[in-house]
Amino acid sequence: MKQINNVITAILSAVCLALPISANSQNALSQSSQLSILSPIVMIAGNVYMLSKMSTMIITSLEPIGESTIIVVEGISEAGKASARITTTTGQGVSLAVGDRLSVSPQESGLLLKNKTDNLIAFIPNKQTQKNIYQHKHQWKSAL
Amino acid sequence: MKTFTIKIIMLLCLFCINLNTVSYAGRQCTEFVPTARQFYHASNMALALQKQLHTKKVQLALVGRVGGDLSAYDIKYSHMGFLYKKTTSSGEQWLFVHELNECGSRFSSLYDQGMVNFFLDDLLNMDIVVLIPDMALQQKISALLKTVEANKYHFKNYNMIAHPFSLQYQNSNQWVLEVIAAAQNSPGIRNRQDAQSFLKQQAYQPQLIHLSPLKKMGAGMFSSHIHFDDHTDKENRSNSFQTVSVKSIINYLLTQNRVQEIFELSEQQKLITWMAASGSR
Repeated sequence: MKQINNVITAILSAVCLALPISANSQNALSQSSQLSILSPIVMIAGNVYMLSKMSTMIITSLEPIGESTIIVVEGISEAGKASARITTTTGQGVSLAVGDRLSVSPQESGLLLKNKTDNLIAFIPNKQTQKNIYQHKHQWKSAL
Repeated sequence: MKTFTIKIIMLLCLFCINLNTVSYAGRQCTEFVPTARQFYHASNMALALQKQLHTKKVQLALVGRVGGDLSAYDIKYSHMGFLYKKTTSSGEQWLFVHELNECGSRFSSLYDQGMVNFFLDDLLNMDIVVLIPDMALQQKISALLKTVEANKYHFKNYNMIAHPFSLQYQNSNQWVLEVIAAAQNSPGIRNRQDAQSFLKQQAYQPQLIHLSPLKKMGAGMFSSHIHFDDHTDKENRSNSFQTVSVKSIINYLLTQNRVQEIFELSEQQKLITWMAASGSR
């Protein structure tokens, strides 16, 4: 009985050891497409050019959706008033509240919105980035 | 007897947990929501790559990315696709076209996506290798991608370690290689079989992947995307399998003298030139 026990233990242990390796290999080589990425930066309203004129913005509302949050921000500059709804994800330990001030720093690829402790809260790609180098995954037929 | 039964139950539970891991764990098998920081890095990488291609006046490039840690198999870049410039009425757009395994299944499809999104596919890191073919080959591959021709070389039955000279399955890099072959000798190649015969004639050297018996057993029993029945008895006995890898495609094009330039772009946007532009061909 002890022998059978040992054999079964050995086989099951071997199988269990082998499984994670096959899973990793699959994902490494093939890059499956089963789940499409939720865009973290859908601008529902707002103008990046206008936002880039702001040095700070204020969160006027927060709408959590799963792992993402829609933050509504508003700011005023000499160029006028601007607001935007931005879908974003934040890292662990970053909390957001209505009334928080976010600093706006324009970069070549878009705008960075950071909180007062320098955590990146959102990235808003500029028009050029969105137009030329951002596109969700599609089933491909041909380039036509 | 009671101890024995308990042990079996515990092991079966562990087994089931592991099975669950196979179905959903790992990159792209779980829902992946990138953080703002990842999105920012991906945008910067895409922008840096776009600038490189613009400066070099490239129409089409082959780009390899790091899907996971395969260093044990002497593989850094695991997956390759075509990156081409599409001209639309509203301007130019860079798009990746590549074959992707439908996660957890035995099938694949062809997809296109933007450069930012290519870097957001939950990769191990955002390092890439870029091979720019000579202009003649760039134009021929682009022409294939602009018609339904390139679809002819896609085969939906997926095998991560598909044999390079078998029609039974295909892996993502194999589609790239077969399209390259078709572009190299377009009038003479009409299907996958022609492409593989041509690659054989050109002495294409696949990469050898060695699996331990344990890994082979686990993969063979529980992974629908890994098959060994297209490989020879010799390969199965030795557990060393020929397959199309990013490295083997690069080596092939180098031996064919069809490379204009090769460089790596690291996640920190450091440019490392493997082979500088020669201006030949």
